[in-house]
Amino acid sequence: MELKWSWLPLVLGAIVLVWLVIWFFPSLLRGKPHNAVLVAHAQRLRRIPRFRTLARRREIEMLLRVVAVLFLIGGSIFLSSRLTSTKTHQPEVSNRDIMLCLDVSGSMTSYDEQLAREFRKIAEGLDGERIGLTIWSGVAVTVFPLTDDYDFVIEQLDDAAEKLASYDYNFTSGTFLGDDRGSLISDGLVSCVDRFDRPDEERGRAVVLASDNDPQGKPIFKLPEAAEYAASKDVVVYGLGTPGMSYDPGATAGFQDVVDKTGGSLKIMGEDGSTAEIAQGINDLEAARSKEPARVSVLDEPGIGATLVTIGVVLVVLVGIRRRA
Amino acid sequence: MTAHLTRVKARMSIHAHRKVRGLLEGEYASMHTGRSMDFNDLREYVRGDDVKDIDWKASARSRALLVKRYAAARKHTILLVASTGRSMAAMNDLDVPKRDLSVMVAGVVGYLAVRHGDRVALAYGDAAAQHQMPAASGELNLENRLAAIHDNTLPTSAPSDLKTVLDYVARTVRRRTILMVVSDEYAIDQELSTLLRRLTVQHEVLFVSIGDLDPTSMDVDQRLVDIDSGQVIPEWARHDKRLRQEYASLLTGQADGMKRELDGLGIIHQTVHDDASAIRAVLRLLERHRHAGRR
Repeated sequence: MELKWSWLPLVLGAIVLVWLVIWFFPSLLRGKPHNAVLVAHAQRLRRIPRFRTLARRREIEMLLRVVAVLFLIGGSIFLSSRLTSTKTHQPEVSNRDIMLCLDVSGSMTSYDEQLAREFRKIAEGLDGERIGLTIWSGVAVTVFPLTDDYDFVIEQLDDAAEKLASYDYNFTSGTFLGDDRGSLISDGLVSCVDRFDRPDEERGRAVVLASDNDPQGKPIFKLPEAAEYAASKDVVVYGLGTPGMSYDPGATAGFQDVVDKTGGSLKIMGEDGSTAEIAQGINDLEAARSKEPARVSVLDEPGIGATLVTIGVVLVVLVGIRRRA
Repeated sequence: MTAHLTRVKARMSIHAHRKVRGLLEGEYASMHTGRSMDFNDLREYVRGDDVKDIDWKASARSRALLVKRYAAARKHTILLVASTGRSMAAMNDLDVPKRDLSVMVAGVVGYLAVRHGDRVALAYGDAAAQHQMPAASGELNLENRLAAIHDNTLPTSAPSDLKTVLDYVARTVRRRTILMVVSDEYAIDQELSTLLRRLTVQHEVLFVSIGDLDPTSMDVDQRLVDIDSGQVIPEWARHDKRLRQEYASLLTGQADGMKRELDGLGIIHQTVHDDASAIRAVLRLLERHRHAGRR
């Protein structure tokens, strides 16, 4: 809350002050009232009880009027000097896209339901971002594109978890091309990176990649190429590994390289706080990366001034009615 | 200089009924009661009589030195005591200042006295200063005294203080006079009562009070200002019926109290409320004075 023209209340306040001084001490400027009829012994009038009653009544009335006028003046000063409030917008907060990228290959079937539930937790921990879900094995299939409809996202993730739990092949069928290729993490990552729309906009982009890094068959991209591709597109990759990866140190290392290259982190799911950390990591990283200056908007706040003026007008009217009565 | 006396005479001629004529013809309350004063009363000269009083023609006819006793015995002194403080410069109603009423009252009594061959003295003053003009006969002297009352009663004068003026009279006036007090007192307190009692021993005291403008019944746009305090009478106080009634009853109460006090002192008292009734009020005062018990 601040005043747009902060000098105006000073000027108006000074004028009002001068007026009050003249009003309260009329003898300073005015001499004796001329054209007055002189009366003697009129002080007797002041000792009559009725006079005091009338005087008290008059006093209250005038007090109300003065208060009303002060309200009007105060409100007018507030209105004329334009009380404003400043709001800082962080436009980048809603300027982030997160692609959940789920491996649905055969080796992952025992984890997929759990992963879907982890995604759900991640989705719940985020705020203001657009989220999409892509599943992949041999090829990638979009379950739902980037959206900020969280109800829909939660519903879809629940649905996905359910279908993955019941090994519903209709859900994952689009990811198999009929050959023996599957679990191609590099192609999956590139596909997920390609799912980001609005390439010309400056947006924070992140992929949450869940996989066991156990590719079968020959991928189009090698894993480091995919990582570089993601890095070149400014996409941060957060890895979500499976407990089974611990048996294959190479897979863990490769996965770690990918996330390192893009500035993300790798977590093994089921570890305490894993999803919370990823969500936090996304928030922190994206906020730190936002280069756009905060947009400051100045809003007029006529509420206080209008309220004061309204009170003043109501008081004036009430006093007027009372006087008329 | 305005001709105050001319105005008094003009006003009196309007009231030229029997009472006025009676007063003008000399039916004037006498201090020396119980003795007839014939105009032709002459007596033989004895040593010590003023040579000026010798009636030479009568002496020539009677071959004895005769002196006129009439003139010496019948000459009274009327002492006008006027309060000329600033409250007397206030208004009695919208057109007439109290000062004019004061001059009118003093003028009527003074004119009757002058016509009667009596001498008129004046004592006037306020809280700050008191003055005297010696007893003198003749209309011109009366005019001067009326002018003194008129010209010294100003809104810029000191506050009215009748006690100081009366005290001044008590201290300075030695002779016995008919003392005519013209003031605007509305209450007689202990001190004033003591002073008046002191004066009644020496003088015949007549007391005229001039009424004030009633601020509650003035329906005009002009401001009303109390002359002593300088405070404006608030405009809202001038339209309230109940206030008007209470103020009127206050005035009545004060007038009753004053009448009681003055009656107790044996002082003939009259209040002049407005210009129209001024002459009648003074005549009534003199009438009552004539019929008052002689001491």
